[in-house]
Amino acid sequence: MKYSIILPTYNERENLPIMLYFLDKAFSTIISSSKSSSSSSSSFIQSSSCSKPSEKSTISYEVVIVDDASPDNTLEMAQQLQTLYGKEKVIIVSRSGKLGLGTAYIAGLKASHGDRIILMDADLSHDPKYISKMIDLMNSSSQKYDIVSGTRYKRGGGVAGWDLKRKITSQGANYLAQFLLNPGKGCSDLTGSFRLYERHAIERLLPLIRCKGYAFQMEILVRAKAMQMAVGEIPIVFVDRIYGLSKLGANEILLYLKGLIQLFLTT
Amino acid sequence: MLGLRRYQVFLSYGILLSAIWYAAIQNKSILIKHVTSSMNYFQQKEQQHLTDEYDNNDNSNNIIASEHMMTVLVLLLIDYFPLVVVASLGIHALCSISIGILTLKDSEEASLELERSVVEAKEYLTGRGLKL
Repeated sequence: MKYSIILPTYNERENLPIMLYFLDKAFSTIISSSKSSSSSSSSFIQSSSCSKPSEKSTISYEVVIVDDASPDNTLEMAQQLQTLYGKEKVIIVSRSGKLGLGTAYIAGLKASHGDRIILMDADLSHDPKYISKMIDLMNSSSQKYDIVSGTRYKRGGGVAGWDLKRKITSQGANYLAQFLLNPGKGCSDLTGSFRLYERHAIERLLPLIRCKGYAFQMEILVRAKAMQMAVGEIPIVFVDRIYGLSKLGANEILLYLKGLIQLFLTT
Repeated sequence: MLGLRRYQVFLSYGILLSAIWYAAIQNKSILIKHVTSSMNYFQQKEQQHLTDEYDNNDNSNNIIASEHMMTVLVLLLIDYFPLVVVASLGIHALCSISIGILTLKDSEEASLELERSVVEAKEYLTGRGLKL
């Protein structure tokens, strides 16, 4: 089972190597814990004399870095990391300019070889330690999930570095989206961008997405529910290092509302 | 739910509520009669339990006063029905958002843990020859 982590980057020269270090560490834990559990289970199986191939023990990962010609030369850092971790683990997609998140994901998806895709932020706001919990939920036999989403708003989740104004904005936006779209189970955090997808799910969804900005992530979940996909969620903590409302201008808000109305009329 | 778009769901709710409102306005007197008579019924039952040993002369005043109040409330509800709906939605929104803000957990430890991990990462990477 190969996992592809697609990281669209723009001016992430400083964060990218740390991101790779965290991902490598997280997956080493996942791989070693699955090896120990499968070896203990296989010895039990041998004693009960039935054979079962342990397909879960061959877990591997790759990181697909999609760089939109960052002026701070993130590409050069990505190449250094490719030398360090190997061409198997680090794949680079270099694009000619800032072409948008949707096309970055599509380009990354095309260059990836994984069976499951993880989309997350490259600015260290998402902690890769939650990936193992997402994988556990997706592997659970009780329910076949197509998407496992990280939610900040459920018990066990949270944020770091948000002032009251930011919290009001985020809760207000979430309430509005829930009221208008009523997406259902697994969608408590519609604008969250830390998710694990089955390959077939994200391949079907990405070409359909038209919204830009925060509504982009919302549209993925809403369209997935409209297609009867099963969405699970695990609580995550989001660490906002870009303090203040500098990232959340009036333009972003308008874009979000526009996307919301678009979804209201088409789903 | 039925394969309807969201705006279609809202539209149908709007039409349903408008129909109910129209019917209510047309039949105001009947509605008020029903409300006051059911109020009377409950009041009388209560009075019977409470004032068995006293005479019932005062009770008619009580009944008329609360009847009046109920009539006013029902009239307000019927006349300003859309406003009542919007106001209820607004109150629901305010409460939900406030509860959401209060339960949104602020995690200082996550921020500190991140900074520590960043230091650890930088040490490892510079040790492996990466030029940060």
